[in-house]
Amino acid sequence: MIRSLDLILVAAMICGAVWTFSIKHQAEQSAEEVARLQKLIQAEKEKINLLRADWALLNQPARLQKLAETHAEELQLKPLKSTQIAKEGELPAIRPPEDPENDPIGDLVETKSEKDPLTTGSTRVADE
Amino acid sequence: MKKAFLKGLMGRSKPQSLTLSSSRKARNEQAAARILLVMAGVVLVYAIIAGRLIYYGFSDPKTGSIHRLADRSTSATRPELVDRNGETLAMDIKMASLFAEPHIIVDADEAIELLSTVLPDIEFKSVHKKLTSKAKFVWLKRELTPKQQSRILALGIPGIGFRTENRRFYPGGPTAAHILGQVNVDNVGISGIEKYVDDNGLADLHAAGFARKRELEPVKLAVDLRVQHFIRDALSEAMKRYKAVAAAGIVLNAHTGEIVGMSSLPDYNPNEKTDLRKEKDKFNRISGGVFEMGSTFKAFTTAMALDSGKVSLKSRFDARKPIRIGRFRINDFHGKKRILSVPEVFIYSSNIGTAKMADVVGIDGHQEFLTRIGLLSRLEGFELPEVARPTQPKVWKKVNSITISYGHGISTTPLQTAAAAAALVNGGMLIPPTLFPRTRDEAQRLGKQVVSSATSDKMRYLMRLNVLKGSGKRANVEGFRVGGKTGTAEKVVNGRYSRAKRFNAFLSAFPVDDPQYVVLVIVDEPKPEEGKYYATAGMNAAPTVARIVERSAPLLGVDPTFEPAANAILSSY
Repeated sequence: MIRSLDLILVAAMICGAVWTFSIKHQAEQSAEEVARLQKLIQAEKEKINLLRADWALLNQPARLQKLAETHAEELQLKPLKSTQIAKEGELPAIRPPEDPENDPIGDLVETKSEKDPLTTGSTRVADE
Repeated sequence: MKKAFLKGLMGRSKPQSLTLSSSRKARNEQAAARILLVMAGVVLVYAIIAGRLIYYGFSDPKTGSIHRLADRSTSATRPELVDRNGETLAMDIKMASLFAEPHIIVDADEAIELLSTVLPDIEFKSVHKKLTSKAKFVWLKRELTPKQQSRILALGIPGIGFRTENRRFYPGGPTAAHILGQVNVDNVGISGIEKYVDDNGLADLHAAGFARKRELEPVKLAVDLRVQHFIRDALSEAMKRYKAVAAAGIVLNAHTGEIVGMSSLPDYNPNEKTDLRKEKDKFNRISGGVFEMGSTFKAFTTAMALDSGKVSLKSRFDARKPIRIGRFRINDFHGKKRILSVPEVFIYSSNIGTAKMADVVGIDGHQEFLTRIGLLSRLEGFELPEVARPTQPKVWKKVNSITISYGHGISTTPLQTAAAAAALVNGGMLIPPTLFPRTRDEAQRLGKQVVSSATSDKMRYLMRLNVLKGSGKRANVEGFRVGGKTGTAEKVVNGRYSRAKRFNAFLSAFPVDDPQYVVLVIVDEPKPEEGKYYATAGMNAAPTVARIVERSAPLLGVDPTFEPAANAILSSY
C-alpha cells in the first residue's frame, strides 16, 4: 500500500518534471522562433522601406517631367491647358446605349464585380 | 485519509520499549505535523505556480522579451517627412558600410581580388595600403546597396564586416531643400523642418533612448510636392532666361496660411552635406532674407488709404509734378503727368500718387498700419529656424513715409509680404503662415482682422485690373483669374540706388473673385530677355507667376471659369 503510493508519487513527480522541462524547452523554441520571425519582419520592413524610397525617387515630379519632355514627340504629349479642363456639370448628357441588350462594357463591369478571383497569400522569405 | 496516513507513519516504526513509547508517540505526532506542514507548503507553492500559469495563459503575450532579441539599429532614427498627400519628402534608409580589420586579414591581395568582383570601382593601391596597414579598423566603402552587401557576405572573406547606419534620404533632392533643411552626420537636424522636429520633442525622445526602437509617426507638412516642383521649375527657368542671380517663390493658401510650396534659388541638394555658412548665396530667401519689396508695397499703401476711409476708389491724386522733399525728388517710372484716380495710380504704379495716398493717412498711421499687417516685426511662431528680422527707420520722418509707400526704405521678408497680401485679399484676416496642415477653422481662431472686408473687395478689384490693363498682363492665365501687383525696385549698391541692378517681384492672388492662393515671386537682378529691352517685374516676375499658376491651379482644386461673370467684379466699380 505504502510502496504503491510512493511509486505513484515518484512517477507523478517524474512525469511532472518531464512535462515541466518539455514545456520550458518548447517555450525556448517558441522564443527563438519569435526572434527569428522578428528578424525576418525587420528585414522585410527594411526592404519595404528601401522600395518606398525607390518609388518616391521614381515618382519625383522633376523626373516625370523630364521623361514627359523626352518622349513628348513620340507619345504626342502636350502640357495641359486651362481651357481643356471641364467640370462634370459642363459635360453634355450621356447618350443612352443604342442596344441595351448588347452592352459589352456593361456586361464586363457586372461580371467583374460579382467575384474577384484574385486572392492574396502571405509570403515567406526563404531562409538565408 | 489523514488518519490512515498517520497510522501508516506510526506503523512503520516498531515500539522498542514501553518506557519510551509515550515520548516516542509524542515525537511521532510532532513529526507528522511537520510533514503535513511541509506538504502544505509544497502544495501551496505548486498551486501558486499553477495559478500563475493559468494567469499567463489568459493574459496577452508580452513583447518585453522580444525587444531584447530584435536587432538594434545604430544611429538615430528620424520620423519620415511627408507632403500633404502623403508623398515622401524625407526618410531614413539603412545603409551598410564595409569595414576591415587589417590584423585579421590573411591575404590582402586575395581579399581585394574577391571584393573587386562585387565592387569593381575600388582602387587596388589605396585599398591594399589600407589592408596591409597596422590599423585595427579601416573603412573600405560607405553606403553599400543591400545587394552588394549580400554578395560580399557570400564571398566569406575573413576580417571584413558591415555596420549598418541610418542615413537621411531626400528623394526629391533639391526640390524642397529650404523647407526640409539638413541633418548632420549623426542624423540630427541642423536646419529647416528637420531642426524644428528635433527641437520639438525628438531630441528628448533620443535622450531617453526611445526613438531608436519605436517606429516614429510620419510628420505631415502642408507642402504639396507637385506644386513645390512647379515653383522650383518655373524659378530655375526664370533664372536662366533672365540671367538672374537669384529667384524665390511661394504659394500660400489665402484662407489657412498653409505654405503649399516655397522655393529659393540657388539652393542645394540636402542629400549632399552643404555648409550653408560657407555658401552664403544659398540661403532661404523667402523667410531668411529681407528685401526692399518695391512697388508691390503700393498694394499695402493703397489698402491702408482705402481702409482709413479717407480715400475711396473715386479719389484723385495729382501726379503731374514730381514731389520734392529736401534733396529728394520723387518721380514716376511710367509717368502719365496728369491727375490720376486711385485705380490709375495702382495700375500705372505711380510713385507720386501712392506717396500722396500715404500722406493722407499720416506718418504715425502709416507705421501703425504696416505693423498691424505684420510687415515690420519679426515673424513669431514660424516653424523654420531661418527667419530674418525686418528693418525700418529708427524714426519715421515724412521722407521715410513717402519712400516706404512705394516700397523703399524698409526691408521685410517675402514670407511676411505674402502673408500680408493674403490678408488684403481674403476678407481682411491676417493669418500666420505655417508649414503644417491647418484647417480653416483653426486659421480663423489664429487670425486677426487687419482690414475691413470692403477694403479687401476693393483690393481684389485693383489687383485684377492691374493684370487686365496694367503692368501685370503677362501674369494672366486664361480661366484662373490672376490678380496682382508688380514691383521693380532698384537695388542699393554701395549705399546708392542703382539703375542697373533691380529686385523684381510680383505679388498675386488667384482666382481673384475668391482668392484661394497667394503667389509671390521675386527675381533678383534680372537682365532683359533676348530681343527685349526692359527687365521690369512685368517682364519676368509676372510671367513666372503665370507659369506657376497654370500648372498648380488644376492640382490645387481651383476650377477654371471662362464665363464673363468672372469679370463682373470689374464693372461693379
